[in-house]
Amino acid sequence: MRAAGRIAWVLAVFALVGSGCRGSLELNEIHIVHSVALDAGKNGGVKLSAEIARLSSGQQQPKGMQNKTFILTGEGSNIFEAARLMRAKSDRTLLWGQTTAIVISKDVALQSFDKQIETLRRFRQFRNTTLVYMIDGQASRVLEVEMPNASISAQALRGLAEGGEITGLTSQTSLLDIYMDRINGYKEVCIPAVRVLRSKDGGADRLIKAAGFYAFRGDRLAGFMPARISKGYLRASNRMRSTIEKLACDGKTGNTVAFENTRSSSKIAASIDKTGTPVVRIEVDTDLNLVGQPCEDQTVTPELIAEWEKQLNSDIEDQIKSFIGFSQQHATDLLGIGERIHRKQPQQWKRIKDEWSELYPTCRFTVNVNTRIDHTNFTI
Amino acid sequence: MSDRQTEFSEDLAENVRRIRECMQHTDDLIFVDRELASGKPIKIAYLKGLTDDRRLEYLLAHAREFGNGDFAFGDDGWRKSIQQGAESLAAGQALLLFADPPGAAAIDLLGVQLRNVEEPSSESTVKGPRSGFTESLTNNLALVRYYCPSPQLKIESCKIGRLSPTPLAILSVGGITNPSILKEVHRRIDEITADFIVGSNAIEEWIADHRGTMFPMVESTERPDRVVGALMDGRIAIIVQGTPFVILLPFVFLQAFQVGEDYFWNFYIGSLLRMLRIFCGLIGLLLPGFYVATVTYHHELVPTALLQSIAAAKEPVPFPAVVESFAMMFAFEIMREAGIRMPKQIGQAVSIVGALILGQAAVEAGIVSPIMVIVAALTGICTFTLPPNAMNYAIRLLQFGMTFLASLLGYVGLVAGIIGLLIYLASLRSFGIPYLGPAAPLNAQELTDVIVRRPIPWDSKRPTLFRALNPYRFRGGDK
Amino acid sequence: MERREVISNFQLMSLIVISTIGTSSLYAPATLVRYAERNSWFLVLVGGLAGLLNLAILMTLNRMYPDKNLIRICKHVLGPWIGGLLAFAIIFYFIDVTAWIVREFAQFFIVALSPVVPQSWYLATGIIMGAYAVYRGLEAFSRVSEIVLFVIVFTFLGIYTVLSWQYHPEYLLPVLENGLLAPLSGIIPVASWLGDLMFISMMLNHVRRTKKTAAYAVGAVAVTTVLLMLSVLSCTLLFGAKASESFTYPSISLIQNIRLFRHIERFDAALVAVWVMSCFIKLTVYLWSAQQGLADLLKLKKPRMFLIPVAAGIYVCAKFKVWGLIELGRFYDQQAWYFCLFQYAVPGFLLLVAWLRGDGGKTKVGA
Repeated sequence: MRAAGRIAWVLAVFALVGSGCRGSLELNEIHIVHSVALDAGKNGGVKLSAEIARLSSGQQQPKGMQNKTFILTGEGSNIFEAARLMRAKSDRTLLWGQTTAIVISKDVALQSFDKQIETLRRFRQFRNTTLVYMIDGQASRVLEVEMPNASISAQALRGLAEGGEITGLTSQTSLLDIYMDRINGYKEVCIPAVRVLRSKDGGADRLIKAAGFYAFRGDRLAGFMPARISKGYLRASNRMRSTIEKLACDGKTGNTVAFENTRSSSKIAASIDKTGTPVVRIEVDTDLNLVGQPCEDQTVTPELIAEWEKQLNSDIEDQIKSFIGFSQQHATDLLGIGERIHRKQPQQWKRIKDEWSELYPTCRFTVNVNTRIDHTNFTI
Repeated sequence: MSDRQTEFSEDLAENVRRIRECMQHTDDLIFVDRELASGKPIKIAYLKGLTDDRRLEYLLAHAREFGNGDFAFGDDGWRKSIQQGAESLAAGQALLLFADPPGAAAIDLLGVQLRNVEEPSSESTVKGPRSGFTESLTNNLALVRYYCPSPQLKIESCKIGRLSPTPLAILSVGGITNPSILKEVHRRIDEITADFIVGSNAIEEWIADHRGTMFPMVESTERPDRVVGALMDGRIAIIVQGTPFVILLPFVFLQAFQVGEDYFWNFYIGSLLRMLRIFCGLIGLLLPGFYVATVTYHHELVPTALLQSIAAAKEPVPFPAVVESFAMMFAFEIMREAGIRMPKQIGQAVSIVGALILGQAAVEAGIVSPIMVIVAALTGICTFTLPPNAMNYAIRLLQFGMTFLASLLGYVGLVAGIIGLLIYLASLRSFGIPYLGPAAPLNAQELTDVIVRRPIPWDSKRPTLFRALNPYRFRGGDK
Repeated sequence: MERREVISNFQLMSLIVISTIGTSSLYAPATLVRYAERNSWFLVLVGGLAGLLNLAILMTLNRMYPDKNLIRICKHVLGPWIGGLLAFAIIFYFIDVTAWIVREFAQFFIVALSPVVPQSWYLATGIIMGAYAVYRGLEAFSRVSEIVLFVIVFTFLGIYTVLSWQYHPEYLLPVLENGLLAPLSGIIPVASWLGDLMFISMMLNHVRRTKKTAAYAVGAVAVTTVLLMLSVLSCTLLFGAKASESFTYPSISLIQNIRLFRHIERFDAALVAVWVMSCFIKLTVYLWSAQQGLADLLKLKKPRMFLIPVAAGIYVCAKFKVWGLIELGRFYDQQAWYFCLFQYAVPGFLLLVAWLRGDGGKTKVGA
């Protein structure tokens, strides 16, 4: 009896091994995709481009993320089909799970954006933390850029996102953020934009630049937010850390005094007043640091600092007001005002919920900025 | 035929003939005639070479002073049958054959050239005593008594083996050792039916709870200080003649990571090194499997830069990761085994050959990837940190099993293997003590003592794991 | 078995905790959020009370008949015919639940890892592990469950703590905006998850009873409730209520968000290990209960021989039970009353009959 049991075990093991190890994928059999570009294709389909690192072998040291890359493209009626068709051009299976960034062309988003997002989600191989960018034009150009010191564009895109808090021109937006915004409905989707800078001598494109945001209303593209408006947006939503503010010197054009933000925080309070109009109050507190030379004939005195603070207050207020103007003009609730009202006054929110997109442009915003200039007189 | 031949007769010559017959007419059996003071003739028999020359001379010179059964020194005992007499002769005793009353008396004259007490090579320490057991039972017992001069130390001897009775001794401490475990040990030893015993491993295999398991059920050590420490914890020691390895039982899994050295340094060092050993045990078991599973099934779970480097390194290699892995682990085992047998002069060459061929050249030829070499080497070194008991070998064997499972199903296979192993270990018992010791069933206080060593002045409780009678070390006792 | 198998209080506690939340922690938030949105933590709290109720019923039954497990109580209380019938139904339920668990186990990998490894391999692995553990005996897998408990509690708490700087507390507001009763529409699924502890009805007679047994059991339910609540809170605070609902296994998304020191991420392997271990314990306890029940009902001399046919049967059952994850999820969601029937109603009914018969001295229901 015991012997029978043991023979059964051995046979089972052999059966298991003999049926082959399906599902295993050796590293020599895959191409690792680092970034993906989505363009509009023919007949309303999509064109997918994948950036794959070329592996240099046979040398002593592997090059990690410094390898050269090549691009594969595929076209299909949706992303999934395009990816499958790409396999026909590739000698190996494509590994999508390591993708760091997805660049979407604006044309794709002009049609229903939800469709693309849903397909991306069902594709399932992209991790939730994959960064998303949008570009006006051909997205695959971004993949072809050869940045100095970052031959894999995915690295460049990731690095760009991390600089968002300092430049005020971009932020880290991942697939998860987009899902959350679309499904929760707390605020509208906002995707950072990139631009490719041509090289001066007509050679290969050399640099990718962060260039603001694209705002959505629901699942439709609403508009593009250039630099100043983006700054206002990031500051209002409390995602800015240290950017530069400039003030013009009196009289002389071209001369500016520069200040660096060391800290910026904003609080938003929204409510519905008795007449049924939503009222929003934005309070901004920032600390700044003098980083440029003051204008000529100026010595740094407390009165001068107070003057600067007043000017900066109004300057920053203008930034935020221009952003608010943009959002009301395009009726995109990027700051999540509706949800804030919901949290504070759920009963009133129930009544106005359905007309919120018409109600939002009528909100009354008050912006209050308090700047504080510090660390001005320290030099080494 | 031997019915009447088993007794001593009154005729000395006849006795001589019977003894020679019983001992297969061996050439080194010498009979010498002497006379007692009373004039009676006696014969003295001994095995040449086995007896100590000086004492033998003394015996032969002063034989006439011996009366019947009165002897001035030595291990005395009256031998009633030829077989007993022959066994005494074989054990290195000299027989004095008397005609009246018929019989023989045995005197212990064993004088074989044995080793001196020296440092045990398998368990060397940096800061600790350097004596190790030798092959002589009496010497070993003397060493234990030296390290533990307690009147409560109890030694019970018996002989095992039908064809060649080998003496062995069971040590315990009265008042601490649990009597039921001691009784169980006696019972199992009595059940041993073997022709002869070679080394303590034979005893280990006989008295184990579960025959046929690759995990050690008992522990063996060459150091007297460890034996005494174990006795004071309530464990039992078995010393066998002819081998310097002493058996300590009961034994639980987590003790495989403890060495005596832990107690010779302060408790920070002792604890951290012990935790390092446990961690190394885990790595030694799981690392090759983890690597194979990650590289074959779970590419998404590696940081991208690392995956690029691994992929580049594996580019020229034609074999799947699991084949590479098995090849490297095998090669490592071959080198290890070869290193043990090599004479010392060529030992150096082996390491150079190994490093050159297996490391450098194989990578350059594109047979294995450098990452695999690192993994295999790290695994091997991790198993070297474990003290050299059978657990070491069990882990090395199980590596292969885990890697195989990992190659079938990825992480799922690996975790399934770990669970299967845990279930198997949890169902083992060593003399009634659950094998997974303080970890499961959980005894948090003792678990900390197994993993982290308490400072000696605070270590006032005996581990309850071995069911000692007295749970306190120095506050209890006779209070 | 030659000697009676005994497990300790702590082992009982770990078995309860692992079987109730080990697996449900991973997909529960999605279902709960569908019923209760932001207030799912409240739903979990009430579900904990339901679990306590279940525990109370089972412990009282055990106190009345200290050396009988559920099957024997059935036969004793209801007589050989009706009792036998009910006992068969209970054993069938155990086997059925085992098949559900095996299928769940395999389904997770199909969704979370690569879908290329055939599902039957995962099914086979699960059932072989369970059968091996039952073969080695109750004590063996109870001891292993203690180790597994530490692993999964540590992992879960680690995940929730490491993510704590990413939480948005305002996602919980407004609290209970629709009143206290609205979230409770999802009470049946929650009760069915927490009621998974009813397997202890077959094991309580093996526990080394001390004064603290009841305390350990209540502690187990408390730990379960806390861990489930933490899981739900984590998802809500990180993703927001509606988005959590859209994930099949929200915990996978949770763990994908962990990033330490900028480059160390991708800890999914930890979740795989946790899932395998918890599923294994859960499936082993139900398989053991089924085997024990069969042995008691049919008075088998060598219950281990039945293990292989039962295991094979479960494999087949699991493979063809439902066509896919959607059906599985829907069944758990809408037909959860089937589980609740056996978890609450049957022991409750037995308790009632036993009480009416006047068995046992104490009739006070207390934990």
